[in-house]
Amino acid sequence: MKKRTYIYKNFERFWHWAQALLIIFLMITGFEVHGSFSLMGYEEAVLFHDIAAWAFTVLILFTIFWHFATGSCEHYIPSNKFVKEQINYYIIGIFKGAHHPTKKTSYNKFNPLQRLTYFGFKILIIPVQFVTGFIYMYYMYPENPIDIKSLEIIALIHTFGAFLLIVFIIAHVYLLTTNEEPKESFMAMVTGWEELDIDPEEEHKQHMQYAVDKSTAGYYRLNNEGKFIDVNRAWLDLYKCKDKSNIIGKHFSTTRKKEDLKSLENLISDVLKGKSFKAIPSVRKCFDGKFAKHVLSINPTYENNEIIGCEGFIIDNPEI
Amino acid sequence: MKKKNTKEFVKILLLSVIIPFALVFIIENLIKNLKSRDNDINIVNCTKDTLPSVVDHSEFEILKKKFSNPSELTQACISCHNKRDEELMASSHWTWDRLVVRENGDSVRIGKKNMINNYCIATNTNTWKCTSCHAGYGYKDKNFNFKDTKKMDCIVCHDKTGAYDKQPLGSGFPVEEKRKFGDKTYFTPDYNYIARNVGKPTIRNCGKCHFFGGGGNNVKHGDLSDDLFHADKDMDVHMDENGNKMTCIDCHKTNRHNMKGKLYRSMPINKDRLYCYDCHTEAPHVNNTLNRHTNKISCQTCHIPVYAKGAPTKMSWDWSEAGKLNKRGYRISEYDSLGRSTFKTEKGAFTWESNVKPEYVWSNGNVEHYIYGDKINDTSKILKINKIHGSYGDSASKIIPVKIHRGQQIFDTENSVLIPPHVYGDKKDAFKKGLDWKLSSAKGMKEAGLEFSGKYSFIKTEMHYPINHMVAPVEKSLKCIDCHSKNGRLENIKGFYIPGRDSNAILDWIGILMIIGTLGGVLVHGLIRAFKK
Repeated sequence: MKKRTYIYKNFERFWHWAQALLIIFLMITGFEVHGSFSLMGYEEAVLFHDIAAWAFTVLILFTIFWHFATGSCEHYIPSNKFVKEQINYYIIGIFKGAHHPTKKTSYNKFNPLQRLTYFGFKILIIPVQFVTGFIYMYYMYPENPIDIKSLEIIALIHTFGAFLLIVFIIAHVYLLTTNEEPKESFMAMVTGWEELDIDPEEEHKQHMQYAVDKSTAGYYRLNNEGKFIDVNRAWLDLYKCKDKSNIIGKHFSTTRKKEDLKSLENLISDVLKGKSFKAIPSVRKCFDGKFAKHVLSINPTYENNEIIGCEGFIIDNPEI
Repeated sequence: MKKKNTKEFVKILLLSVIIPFALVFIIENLIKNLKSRDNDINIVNCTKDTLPSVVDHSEFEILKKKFSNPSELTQACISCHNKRDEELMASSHWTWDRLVVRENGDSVRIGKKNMINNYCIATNTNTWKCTSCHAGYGYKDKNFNFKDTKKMDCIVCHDKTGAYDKQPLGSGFPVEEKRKFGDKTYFTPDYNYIARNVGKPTIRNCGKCHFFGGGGNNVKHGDLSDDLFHADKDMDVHMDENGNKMTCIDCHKTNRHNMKGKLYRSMPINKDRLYCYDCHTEAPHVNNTLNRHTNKISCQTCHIPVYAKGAPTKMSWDWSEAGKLNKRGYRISEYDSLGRSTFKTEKGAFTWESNVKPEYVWSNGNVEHYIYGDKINDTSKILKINKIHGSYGDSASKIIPVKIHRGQQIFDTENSVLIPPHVYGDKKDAFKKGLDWKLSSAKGMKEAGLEFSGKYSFIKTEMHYPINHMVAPVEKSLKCIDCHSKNGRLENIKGFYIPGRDSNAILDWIGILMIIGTLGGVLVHGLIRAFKK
């Protein structure tokens, strides 16, 4: 089952592309400083590399804050589940037209290899580049307070990190094509939306909640003492009740004519014994004192095989 | 849906592409603005002395009397300017030496009297010729009385008329009657005229000697030539006739006849030095990355990209070829197409260069010198007559530009010492006259108080002259890439990492292989996928 899903948030997309551009820009200027080629002039290359490094630092600091603040960091926590399967897929399965061993969902965006790689990228490469980069920038002549003899070791680590980043970008772009719909996946990083396979069970669960919340039938739930635990929006509207707190904890008798109470008590005691009823016509006493008619359904609610209360829907029906 | 996609796309494009680049553009322009402040050079402690002449020397009776020799004029000077003679007596313009503690702990007075160079080699028996540049009269050998203030030459530095010249071969005396040396005629100075026109030294006073070290224009230093008498901006930004109009003493400030900024080649300890940052501050650049360079790079390194911009300077002197005669037994004089002397029988072979790129060495300001009698450890190696101390690991060291003058000169093979030969004279024992190394060495060694074994050979030597003058305008100074590249200016200074010059070949190969490997892997993987479909 496919469903169009909002998977990358605004900030994530901005961060992704800004980071991509900055890394490429840093790569170009950095390799000019390294002496690999001559493009914009050495002084300019150094200057721009420094500026881009500062921009990157700001971006990264804010991104770290964002990841923790929104809890998005959980997407990057590596897990060893399905790692083997994922590797097997890339080595063997993909050539046989097998399906991806893991599903991409909005709450589990990355496959286990992505998790591992991105985690390494964030924890290893970027911090190492950051630290060596700033040493490079401000500790040119390493004598005081710590004598590290020469910039050499710092420069070499920084250069190695740069090579790793190039490799990362190549692999990253290629692996995009291993998606079932590469173009869609790419656009997802642009628009945030992607057609994703949905777990029917999960989808069902999510939707049921939506169905009850948004239904025009009123929903209610009582505990075994006959007191309200929960109602939905439609219920409040039907009863002309302005606020949920006015009803929660109250006994059902407040919502009925005095004459009807006797039969209602009998009905509920039957339900609490395990019976269910559908379409019982009733008269409700609204919060403005007026009366109206509806039909109701009622069934027991269970916890650990014990009846703990009852619930049901009411549908407004002035005709009865 | 499509419309929404496009909208989102534009939004993302704006956010992640245009904004960062707009920022870079803005920052770049800011930097350009900062850079355009070229003329805002921050100068400190640099004030030109604009005081008018305090007294009118032409009104002094004592200066109106008839002077028959320069020494009488000196006495007239001292009669008013008393005590100034004592100041000069302590200064190196007069003593030609300094008391120093050598590496081995000895306290020695070293100077021209006991140092050896690889040009004319040594003063020693030739002193009478060299001392035409001594601030005194009659210093013809080691018996000169350095306490006799009557022998001091005040006017060589203080003459403002330009009419005063010391003769080339007269131990510091001007001529007594009109005389010709080579192309130039020397006249008896009009002492009264000169005495009425004295003042602070000008470039001409200093340059008269300092631009002609080694016996000719720019021969020795390379960065001090008569081009500085009328320099333009390209020749020297400070001494530019139409610009800053600075003279020697604007930097070489003088306090009681003690001059600041001693010649590195002969000043063994790091004292009384003169630094660019005395006026320019330690952070003179707008670009802070450049400012941090001053930690290890002297200003001169970048700001004097070439020296000997006008007159050529001597780059090598091979004495071992001296003495050669042509087939008919006559002396040889050879010149190159630019009229520069390349061979002379009585001197040997020379090379000259102009617009020379300096060589670069580490320097902490301390220099060690070869003096008479020092043993040469290994005569098969090049002997550094003056060794500039410094290294990357020494926090006081900076990279400086130097002129290296390479020579081959005579040494005693048995005693392993350099020989200060007798070169100039009328008798056979002067090499110039007799072309006999044995005789001239014997005389020179005897005079120097050294033992001569009678056996001699020639050794390769180097002299390092730090380059400090002929500062280029900012647009002509070195660019980053001049050093930050392979085979750049600092190619020979090893032992530390310069980005752009150095890289680890193994690491670079690993990196390249990693990239090729990934590209290859991706390509193969993709091809298999394409065919399996």
